[in-house]
Amino acid sequence: MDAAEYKCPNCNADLKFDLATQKVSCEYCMSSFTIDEIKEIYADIQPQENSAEQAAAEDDFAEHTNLYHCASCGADIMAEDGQTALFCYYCHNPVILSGKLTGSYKPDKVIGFKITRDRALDMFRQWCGDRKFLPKDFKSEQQLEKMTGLYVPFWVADCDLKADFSGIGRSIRTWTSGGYRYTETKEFQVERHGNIYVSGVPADGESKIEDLLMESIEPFDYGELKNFDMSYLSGFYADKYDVDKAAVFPRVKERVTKAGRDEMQKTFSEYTSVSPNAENYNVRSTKWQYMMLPVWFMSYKYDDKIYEFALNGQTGKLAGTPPLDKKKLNLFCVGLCAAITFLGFILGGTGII
Amino acid sequence: MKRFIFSAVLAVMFLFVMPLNALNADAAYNYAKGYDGDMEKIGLYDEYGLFGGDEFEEIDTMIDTYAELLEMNIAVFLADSSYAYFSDYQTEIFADDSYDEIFGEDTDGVFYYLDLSGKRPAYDYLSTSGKSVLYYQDKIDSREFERTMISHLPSSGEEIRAEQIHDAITAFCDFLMNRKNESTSFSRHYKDSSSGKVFYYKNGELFITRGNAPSTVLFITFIFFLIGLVTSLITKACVKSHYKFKASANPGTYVSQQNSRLNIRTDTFLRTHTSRAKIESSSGGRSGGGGGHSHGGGHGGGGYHR
Repeated sequence: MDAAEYKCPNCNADLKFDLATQKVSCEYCMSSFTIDEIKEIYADIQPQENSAEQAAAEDDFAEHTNLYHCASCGADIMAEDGQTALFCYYCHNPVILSGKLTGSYKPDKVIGFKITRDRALDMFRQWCGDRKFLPKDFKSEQQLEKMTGLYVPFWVADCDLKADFSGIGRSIRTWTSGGYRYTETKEFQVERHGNIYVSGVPADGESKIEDLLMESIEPFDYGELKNFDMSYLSGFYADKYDVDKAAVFPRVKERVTKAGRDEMQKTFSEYTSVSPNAENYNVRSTKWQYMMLPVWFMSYKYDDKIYEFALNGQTGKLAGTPPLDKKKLNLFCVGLCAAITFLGFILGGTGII
Repeated sequence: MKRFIFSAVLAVMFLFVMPLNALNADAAYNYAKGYDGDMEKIGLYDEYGLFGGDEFEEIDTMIDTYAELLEMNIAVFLADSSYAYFSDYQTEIFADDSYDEIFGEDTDGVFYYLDLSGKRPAYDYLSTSGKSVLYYQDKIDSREFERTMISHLPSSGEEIRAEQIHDAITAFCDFLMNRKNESTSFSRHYKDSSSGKVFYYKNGELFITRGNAPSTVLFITFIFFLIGLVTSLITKACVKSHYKFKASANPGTYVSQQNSRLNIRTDTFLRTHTSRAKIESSSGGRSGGGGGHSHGGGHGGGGYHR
């Protein structure tokens, strides 16, 4: 069999046959499959052909989408042709119209904004509320105006994970009798083999936004997914992805493996501890969808560092790194130390202690 | 924000300063009365009746002379058999109270209780007051006073001879004259736990107050400074941690239970083993009590058994 006939079912790179392992493997995302496995996977995949309707939608997207480029940070921002982007949502420098997008950048799906700008601002103010050492202008009106409704490009993966676990499970029981503490340990050979299906794992395709920040505002409710339409962009901006699905796959694989391992752990609940002898999690195949997900985004430059704040435009879940005014904190600590020292002076002077 | 922090610190300070100012006024009051040179009271108090007229006068005059040179009251008390029932603690209270009754509280001087009551073991006690506390306390604590006197005094149960006691009183006066520590160092102080009074020098002047000595205040302030420093550092670390980004992603939410299936799920029993350990146990308890002075004068002092 010629391995080159097959593409990697996870990242679409060419598969190569490895003589040592007698498996076909992907050099790009490190996935590997036996010949039987790859045949089975490909038998399941239905050939997808671009319909005329789909081609028309891509043309429409290309025609009505403008691409703006930030010369300062390199961000590419999409906006529908009725809207003009003036500044970069990330570094707040002016952006320039750089042309049109090709239809291949058209997302498959989209979730519309449910959280309004006013609600997002309220939530942001609330989030700032219990933090006393924020820089003065972090909550200023001028800064709040920089909060941008942004459709972030996401690669959303459905992964079929082959999970194999073999180990020793220990069940420990203790009791006391006649002045002695007894400990009984029962050992079992634990075998778990099967498939874990992890569906809808998102990975943002924008290199400028912190991956962990985007992960922290998950999950999105995919029940509200719609086919992409240009009208969703009205009043908002959208990012053009600059990280393709092959590049985000290692991150997805890591998350899927963790999910699989956690799921496996749930089956060990009757044991006090389990020691693995052999444990293997292999992503057999991945189905990708490219979608735009709604995020209220704000960045703030302080002490030459960019602080990012993001709010899930659908669920309202928020995350971010608050900037810390170190001068304010140092002053407070000095004041606290002085107050405690003075208290000691007074208590010592009066002979109370 | 700066104004807020400054105001908060000031408010905290005032909060503590206002009520404590009243206490501080009492703490700053100097109880030291000095030495009035009343020779009628200074001298030998011979309850035992050991010395006759001339010898008594000689010793009394000697004590007066030393008192004048030292500018402090000196009383030497020879206890007879009626004091034989005194415990050590009662002896100490008797000596302190007797000094206060004879010379007044917080005046400069000493009261030396020589136990000739026949009690075994005999317990002699030197009660110090005013500047003599700082003059002699270190000598008492280091047992130098005990070693000096014990070599001149009869052991418990031995015959009491007038000339031996005479020599002992002379040695006592010499000790007072030659072994006093006149250092007015800032760090020297003594606290009488029964009266709560503290003795120290400030600018060469003796102070007896109810607060703490300046060196102690400095030490407490330094300890509080360290506590403040640690508190501040902990606060700073906590605040910094509060301002760190906290990721909260859980990929487990994406697992599809409907489409996931474990084809093999077996648990095969291998072996069992049981171990045992003896349970250790322990318990304990304690209790205690105490008494008090009838006078409020601050005293130092110390005694020894013969």
